[in-house]
Amino acid sequence: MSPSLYTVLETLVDLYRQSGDPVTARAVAASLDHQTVEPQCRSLRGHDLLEATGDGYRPTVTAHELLALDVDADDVLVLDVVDD
Amino acid sequence: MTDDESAREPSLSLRSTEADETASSVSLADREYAIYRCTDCNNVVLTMQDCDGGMTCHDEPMERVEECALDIRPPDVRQVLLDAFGLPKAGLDVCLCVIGEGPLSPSELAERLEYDETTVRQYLNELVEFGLLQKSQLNRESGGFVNVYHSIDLDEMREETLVGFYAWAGEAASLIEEANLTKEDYRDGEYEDGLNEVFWERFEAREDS
Repeated sequence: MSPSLYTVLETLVDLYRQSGDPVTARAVAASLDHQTVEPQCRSLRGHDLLEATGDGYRPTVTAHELLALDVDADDVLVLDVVDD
Repeated sequence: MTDDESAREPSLSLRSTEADETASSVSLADREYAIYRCTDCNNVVLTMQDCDGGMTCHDEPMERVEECALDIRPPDVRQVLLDAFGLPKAGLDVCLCVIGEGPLSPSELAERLEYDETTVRQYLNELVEFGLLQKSQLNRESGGFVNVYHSIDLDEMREETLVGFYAWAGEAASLIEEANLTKEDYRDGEYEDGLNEVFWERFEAREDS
């Protein structure tokens, strides 16, 4: 079973906090013992939660704010990106 | 109706099994809810749980109502949600579809439900106003913001929807009580119009006010 978007995000943020460097989808997949999480990373990028860099992904301010919400992962239902 | 057909239609369990429905009564003894009446003041209450085996009214045990003489139509969940909460099927679809699917964008949700994205956004906001969803706003690095829709605690949702429904049922019970009082007034008064005209005039005046 594929890891959820939220699990991938939490794992990537943990790895980013440990190293301070952008994290590759491969590193997240290895940490979750899963073959690939590239689709989840692309989806998280679409929700404006990850920023792609040349060396991988870094969590955005939005991602940090999302994880700081006092909400269970399963309860986050819809993310609506609104431009200025 | 055969026994097999009855088994396939559990919603009909509210109805009497007697063939002559004009003389039927509905058994309330095995329902998950209970209705109690006070034999002293005619108070009637509905409970979803019996606390310590029953209810009391002015410190006296109430009598559990075992049968209903009226033939009750089984409620349709869509109609109940629409009547009590003003929540149409599309709103419920949005609520049910988002639970367990993980974060989706409004356009992804619209695609799954085959609704217009505007409709999905409208119901997301209505579900927030209604209290079934909560909305938080997060900042974006490039400007703008991200709206996060998340569900409320399930226990809280259960209690809120039940209280909301009871409030609606209380309003409905008040209307029924008023209808009965209208009949009583008519019998005691000297009206030139028929009861049906007096009856509807009174309720229309209430709706207008």
